[in-house]
Amino acid sequence: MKAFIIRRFLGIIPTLLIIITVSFFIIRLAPGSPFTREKDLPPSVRQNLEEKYGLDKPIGIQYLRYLGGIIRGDLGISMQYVDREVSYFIINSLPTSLLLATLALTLALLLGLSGGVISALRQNTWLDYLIMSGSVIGISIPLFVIGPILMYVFAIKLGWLPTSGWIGGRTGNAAVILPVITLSFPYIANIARLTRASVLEVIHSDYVRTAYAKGLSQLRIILVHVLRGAITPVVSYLGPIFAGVITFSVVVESIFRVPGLGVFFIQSSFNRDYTFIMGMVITYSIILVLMNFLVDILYVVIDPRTLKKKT
Amino acid sequence: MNKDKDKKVMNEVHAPHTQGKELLLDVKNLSTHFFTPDGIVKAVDDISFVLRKGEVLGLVGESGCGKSVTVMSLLKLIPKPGQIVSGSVNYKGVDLIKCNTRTLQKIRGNNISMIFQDPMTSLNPFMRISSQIMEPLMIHRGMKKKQAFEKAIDILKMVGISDAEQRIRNYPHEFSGGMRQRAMIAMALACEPDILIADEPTTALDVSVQIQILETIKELATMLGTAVIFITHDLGVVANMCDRVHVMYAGRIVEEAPVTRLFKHPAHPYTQGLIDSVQQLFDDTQEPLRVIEGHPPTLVNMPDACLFYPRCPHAHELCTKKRPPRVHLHSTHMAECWLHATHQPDTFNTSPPLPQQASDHEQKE
Amino acid sequence: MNKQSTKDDHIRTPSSTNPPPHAHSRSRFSGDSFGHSFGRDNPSPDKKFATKNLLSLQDFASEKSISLTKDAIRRLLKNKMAVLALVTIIFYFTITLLGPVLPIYSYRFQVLEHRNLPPTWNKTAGQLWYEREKNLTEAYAQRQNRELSPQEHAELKEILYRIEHDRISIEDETVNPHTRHYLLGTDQLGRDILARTIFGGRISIAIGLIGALTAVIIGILVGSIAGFYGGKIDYILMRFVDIMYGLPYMLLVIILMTLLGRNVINLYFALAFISWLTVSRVVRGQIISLKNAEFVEAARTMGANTVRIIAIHMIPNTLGVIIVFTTLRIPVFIITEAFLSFLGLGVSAPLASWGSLIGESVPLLETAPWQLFVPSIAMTFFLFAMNFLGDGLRDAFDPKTKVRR
Repeated sequence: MKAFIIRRFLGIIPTLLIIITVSFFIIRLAPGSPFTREKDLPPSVRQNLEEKYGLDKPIGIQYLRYLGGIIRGDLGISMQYVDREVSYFIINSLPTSLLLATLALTLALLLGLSGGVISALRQNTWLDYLIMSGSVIGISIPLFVIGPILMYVFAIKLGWLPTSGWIGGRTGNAAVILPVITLSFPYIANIARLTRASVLEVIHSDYVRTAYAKGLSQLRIILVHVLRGAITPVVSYLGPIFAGVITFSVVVESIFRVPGLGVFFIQSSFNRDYTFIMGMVITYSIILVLMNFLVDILYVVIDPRTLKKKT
Repeated sequence: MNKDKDKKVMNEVHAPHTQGKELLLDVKNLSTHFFTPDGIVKAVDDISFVLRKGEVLGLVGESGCGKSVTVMSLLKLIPKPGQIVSGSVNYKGVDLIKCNTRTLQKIRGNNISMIFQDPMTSLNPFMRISSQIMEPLMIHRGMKKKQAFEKAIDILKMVGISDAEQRIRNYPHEFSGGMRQRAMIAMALACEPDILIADEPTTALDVSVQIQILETIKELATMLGTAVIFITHDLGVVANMCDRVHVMYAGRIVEEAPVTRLFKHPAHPYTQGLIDSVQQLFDDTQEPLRVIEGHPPTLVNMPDACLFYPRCPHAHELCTKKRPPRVHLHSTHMAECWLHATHQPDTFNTSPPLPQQASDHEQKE
Repeated sequence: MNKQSTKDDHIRTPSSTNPPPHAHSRSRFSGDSFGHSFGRDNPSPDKKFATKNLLSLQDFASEKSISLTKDAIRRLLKNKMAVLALVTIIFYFTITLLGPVLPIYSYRFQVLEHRNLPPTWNKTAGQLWYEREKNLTEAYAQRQNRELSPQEHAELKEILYRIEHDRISIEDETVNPHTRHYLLGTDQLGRDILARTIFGGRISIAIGLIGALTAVIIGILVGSIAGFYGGKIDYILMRFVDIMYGLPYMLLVIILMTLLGRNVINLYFALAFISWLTVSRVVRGQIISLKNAEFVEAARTMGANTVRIIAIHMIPNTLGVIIVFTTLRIPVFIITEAFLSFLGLGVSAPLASWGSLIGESVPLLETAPWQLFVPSIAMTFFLFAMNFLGDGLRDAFDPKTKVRR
């Protein structure tokens, strides 16, 4: 187990290196510099700028310097917000984004798992049909549709909740509700469907039949035998879910004007702020890779068979 | 043997055997049907049998003939869309078909327990062997964790797992196939049940391991005085293990007899075919392998006829028209076949030559 | 009885007049279970039958897939929801394809006076414009507790006059713009939302369809090569896929879009570039499980070459999975495109897609909610239909799952 964890952790490094390298070179080799928009920039000013950001050096040197910077936690200076370090923005707004993602993921797991289990246990009853049609709605309506609609109904028409803001903001802590619901919406549906399918599969499996033959009660069979087996596909799906939540948090943040990383992300990609984009990509990648690492470990804890296979 | 006296047509009524020990299980007219979109599949059709204390009862037949469904029905473990449509299973005065779930749960794994075909999938892969064996002990015997753990080790030793103290902490995937089946047996015998149902327990195992597992089952059953219902399609295993044998075909018991008698005087053409194909393996003949031609029928919307007639070497018109009666050739020997019926229509005389033993009966008519 | 079952009969012994139904359905499930059922359901050791089987194997794979597709279509047509979804999708395709010749206004023509007009059944744009201006002016005056000033009266009069006499030229035709009739309202630049939704749908659906197809084709190529050859080729290809999987791909798409410039073609490439991964894995798995199936081995012993084996024997057997996958992939593609366009990183003005329409509507949600609702409803119904069709297809191609679920 220990060896497995260490190996997995070491496996993170090449992945991150690849991400950094790929995005670095894509950005640097692409046509156009961040300063092309400022027309008629005097050559001397331009040279000064390029010197400041190290763009005058050969690309290999730039890459190595950048890598060195990352190790020291230095992501370079933003190109649009002059004299501000990229890490300054990230440190300030990342906690908000992470909180949003975590809350949404928790809600999605809570509702999705229970919905899926109930649906499977009451297979082919009205409750099952209700939950499953609900989940089709959840999958079919993208969150950038459901978000504005929720905002229109609950914030604008009914006035129950603020349209924008965040915890500790002017609009009060209730501002957290709509973004979290919106962000978790598609994943509730996905998790419910996945859970239902896997619970049904486990219920019909041989070892659950054995459990019945042992004379266990229905409740014990479900709690002890079924759920454990049924949860593994959900756990293996956690990685992609988290990636989705992180990515779509950009949308949700922009809809509800949540002061997270998302806003900066959009801005910097509009402004071709290279250092900022790179910083974002690296930050998001580290989060995703770490999350996948945790999921892998969780998976082994839940399903003892995988350890044998993976090591 | 006085065959004539016992030989009579028995339709729908099962004659309980008078001889033998205490009756443990009395199954009467059990029918389990599967309601599929393609029609009703009569997987088990009007089956009756009894099980006595300490005996080993064999249930033999091809794949898909309803052996497993029969024993699953005994404990009401039939998955949807299957349903037990009629019959009773009497265990110590309790009808397992009609009794409530709580009673059934107390009997399952405690008085009647089961071993399944595939030990790879029948153990919970997410739980340690220890907890799986401890489960029935704690639930049925009310043992505390520690006590149950020690008992579980004892049982594991009993079923022949060396180093049980260590291995009990393992997960199923760390066990070999044979060891898993041993663990299954340990689990099933943990509460020292009256009846052990073994559903093809060795089919999925290596041949070398099969014999060991069979020995283990037989030894422990004798030791604990457990009666065994043993399902198999292997006649060799039947010969070694069983006291009495029921031959199943297409959801019905077509022949029942004590094991020695069955091998000596198989009465049903199907049984004859089965035994023929096995015995030939031990002969030195060069002739091609004799097999029973064809396949078991689909069990959907079956006609009221003998279900074996398409494959039967002695098939006759009558077989296609009417279901054969249950003929008692002897107090312990029953066959469901027109060949042995007393009231045969005249046309039947033109049938192909009857097998040796069967025609014996005819002459004595 | 269909072709499939006669084939089965022929393989089974002639004496069994009634082959078990489960054997039929089982062989329909999927390629790999077919291989198993073949061995399992045919225990007859009779030599004659064995050779017969081998001979018929050659055309077995392709024939099976044809009848499989037929069977699937028959099952699909029995599924009411799936048929309804199919009808909806055909409706969408027709409307969006006919977009340029439909009697609708231009999707890009702006009438700035007609900004943010609500949907209407019977009123012309001029009427709505005048009503709005009048209400605004009166409300403004009322707040100051006074009557309308002469100047304001004059302004309103001028609007009335302009509604009568304004002329503009659209496509060499001089018309009065204020007689226009916007069924579903206008956007913040006075463009017809109906037209924009239809033309937006054109782009969204096109990207979804072409993107999914491209992704599937690349995926099939990579997956079947990896699965069939195995060994080093498989290892290298799949490690590459693994690494690509590890990348935060939406972020990469965003980077690509910022660098390449925001237009439809780039968007399509950026999306197709990253979405073949899953298909390749699915196809590879299918191919590997088929590789060991008896009928492929039989084809190989008969000297069929590799490409032929893949193309004739294996791809048709993965067809069901691929069709289902493509169908379910289209909505994902549409959502991804919409996500980017929503953020303003996808299609750029004056072109529209459902995503960009929804994105543009959010800031005006309070005053002009129809700008959100119209494209949202259009998009949601389409996604619904695609998902239902995908589910229906999956059940049709794999009846086992239907029973299970």
